[in-house]
Amino acid sequence: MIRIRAWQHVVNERLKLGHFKIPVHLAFGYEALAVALTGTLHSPDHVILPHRNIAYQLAFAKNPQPIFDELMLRPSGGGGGVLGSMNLAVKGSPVLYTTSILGNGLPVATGVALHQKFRGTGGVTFAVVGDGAIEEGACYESLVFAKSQGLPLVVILENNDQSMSSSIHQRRCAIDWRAFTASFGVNYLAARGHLPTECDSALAEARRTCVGHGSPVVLEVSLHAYNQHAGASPGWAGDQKAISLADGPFLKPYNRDPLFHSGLTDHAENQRLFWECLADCDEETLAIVEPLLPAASAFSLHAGA
Amino acid sequence: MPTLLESYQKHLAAAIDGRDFVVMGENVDNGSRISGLGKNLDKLSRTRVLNVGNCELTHVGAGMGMMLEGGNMVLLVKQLDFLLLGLDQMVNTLNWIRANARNRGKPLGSFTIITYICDQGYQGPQSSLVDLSGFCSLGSFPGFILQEYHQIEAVLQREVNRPGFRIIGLPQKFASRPVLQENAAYVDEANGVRLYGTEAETCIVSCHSSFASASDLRGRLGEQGRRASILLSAIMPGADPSLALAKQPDLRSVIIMDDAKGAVKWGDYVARKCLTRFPDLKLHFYERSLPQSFGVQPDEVAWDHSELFQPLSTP
Repeated sequence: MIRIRAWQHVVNERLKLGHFKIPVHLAFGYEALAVALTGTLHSPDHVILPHRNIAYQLAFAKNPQPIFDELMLRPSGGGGGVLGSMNLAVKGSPVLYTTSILGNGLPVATGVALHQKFRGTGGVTFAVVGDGAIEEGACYESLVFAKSQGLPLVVILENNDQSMSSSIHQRRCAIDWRAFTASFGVNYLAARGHLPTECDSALAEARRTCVGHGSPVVLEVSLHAYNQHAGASPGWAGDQKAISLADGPFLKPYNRDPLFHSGLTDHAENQRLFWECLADCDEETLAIVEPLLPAASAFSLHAGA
Repeated sequence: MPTLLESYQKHLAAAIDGRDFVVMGENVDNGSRISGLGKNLDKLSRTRVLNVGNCELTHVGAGMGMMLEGGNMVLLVKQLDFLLLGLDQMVNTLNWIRANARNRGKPLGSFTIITYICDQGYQGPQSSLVDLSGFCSLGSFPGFILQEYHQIEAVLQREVNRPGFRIIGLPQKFASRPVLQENAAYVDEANGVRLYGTEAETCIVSCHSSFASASDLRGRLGEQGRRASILLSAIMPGADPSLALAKQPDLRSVIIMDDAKGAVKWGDYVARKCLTRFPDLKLHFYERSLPQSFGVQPDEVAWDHSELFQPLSTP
């Protein structure tokens, strides 16, 4: 988890320097969910992601450089320099498709799951959608289709109470997803995205339920999006680009930061891991990062801070 | 002589029999089986026929997802305008699949949509969309309208089993009529062209559902002693259908015939190609005018030959 956080810091610092021609949607606060997904997947599983996919991409990556290169549209990028950020799928990763269109991913996910079912691969398709994208009619259609066909599909509903610069109550009525999914027999689970162990267990249960029941599952994950970065659609008007590598890995409010709940309470070990992650970057990146490396005191947070 | 629909049924079944295919559609295994589009497909080996709900956007997305995973799907749709709901998938998802081609770890599957084109008249202000080329243009993918027996066989055998995406249309007004049958003198698959006759001084380029009208016009010209050929042009953005004109050394004029309703037609694309490659050829247009009313009206095109026939028939 600290690795994803460190690498997102790197991208954020490069965004501040205007290094990318393309929009990059950072996902500070999504790290626990992304890590939990990597731990849940079985070999035949596939993942369908939305435009804000960087936490998942970094979680699946052993080395961040192909992703950094893709953001620079270099041929050495994970998508060959032609997919960019919102549509990135790194060859060899479980990510089969990413979409920048709200509501576009779930219909595709049903087709992938349909193929998995008919081929008997035992695989499950995990499709991530936000609380804004789920408003699209395609998502309702796809859930009904998936239930009707008994598809091995887990829909991860990232609920950060935000779509562009609107909260849910600013743009629509509330939806009780437990009651809504129950109305057509789709299993529902919930988890808090800043709690790593809860994400781990909820995703594992979602997969078990999906396979065991031969039916789709919706897992709603509440997330706190840390918007004060330099990436695209940062969130609320007035948000400052305050997130800085120099301040260390943790973000305020700490109690919603998954890194704070990651169990890494040994600040010396945190510091060592954080710097170790950054050492994977190329010389060009390191030249940007090194002057900003956080002071040791930035790793000294403790429970209750 | 079989009807156009019977010809389609025979050749689709032959194309997918013994191969792993999912055939999906609303009422595909019930009632008329989508006005005959799905008839007998449930009797084929290794073909799964799925009756599905009314959600065309999801159907198109599911086809894209299955293709992405290497599977093969035929989606049967009652009429072309229902597919407007699936345009996002035909444009955005398909673009992504093509952009990601070099990273794909496994071969792409095949996804074909087969739909009626409701041009049989009096459908009303809605349900009368006939412009397949508009879809193909937006998504830059091929489209085929089945009109002639050998073309039907060739298109279904080749396209349904080919990796990638396309739409195949059946003109509903011809579905129950005996199918036209004529051997092509020249076929250029890469540019979507079938050329009927070569010893011609006039070539009628038939676009959309105009093959029967083109045959009629060729007969009229023949009565006047004018030798005409027909170039049946599939909708293939990026292709050059005009290349086949070089096969006709005596050619002096080209008639672009297009019965689609839109302001921008496939025939216009072909005309540009013809003008660029053969600037000395005379070009005439038999194109449907824009609708004067959006209410109920016949979809059958009553071509006005008077304006063009005289200059064409004058040596």
